[in-house]
Amino acid sequence: MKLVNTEGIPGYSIISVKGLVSGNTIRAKHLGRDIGASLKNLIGGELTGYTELLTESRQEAMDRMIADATSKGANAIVNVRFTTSAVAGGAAELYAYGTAVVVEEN
Amino acid sequence: MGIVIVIVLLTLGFVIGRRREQAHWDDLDEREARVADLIVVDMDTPPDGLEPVFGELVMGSAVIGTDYLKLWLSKWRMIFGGELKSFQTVLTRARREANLRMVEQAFDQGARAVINVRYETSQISGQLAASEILAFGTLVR
Repeated sequence: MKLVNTEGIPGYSIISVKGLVSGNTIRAKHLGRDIGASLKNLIGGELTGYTELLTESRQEAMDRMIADATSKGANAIVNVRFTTSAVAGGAAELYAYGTAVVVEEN
Repeated sequence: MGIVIVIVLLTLGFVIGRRREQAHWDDLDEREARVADLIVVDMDTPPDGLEPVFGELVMGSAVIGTDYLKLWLSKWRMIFGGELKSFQTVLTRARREANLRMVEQAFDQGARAVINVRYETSQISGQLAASEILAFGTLVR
């Protein structure tokens, strides 16, 4: 599966459009990470635990989007976008969406 | 007793927080210099006019938190209003870090440019003074 956030894929042409595909996941952070992060918040700097958590979760949302595209018979997703929103204190929704297409090498 | 703890934490923020921040700025400068030649734009075509032959999604993200001193100062600032300079540096660092992670990923894959770059900011938690910045774009060769 090829992913880009542009409207076309360099070197390929789109031969059919399969429609919008998306994937989401809602993750709660766990207490241990939260305690670590609040200690880190005293001295400043990167909250590594959160960076990892969000990266993993976003990958999960992308995997679901890819599965959606695969089930529609697409081999690429163009114009990929991401959104994140906080749901009820301590949980975040990560959402990935794009347009599933069938592409052919030029 | 309470006031002693606050003073200790403020000192901790001032001494360690400042040193860590400076170390991060230096680290950013150094790593940005390595990838400085890579073209990064938010247009959907590379500016050099050459037709790309390969494209792939690249992304980078970072969550940077502020320190106790800055948080404490921002509470005072919120009484009177005005620009929160201490938070501005935190978000700038997070954005540069996220951008750099994306660019480094593209650079290591031999990209000629990163096009259609987008940024997204989201708040992590009400309790913590931290935001996540996501940078994503398409690497082209």
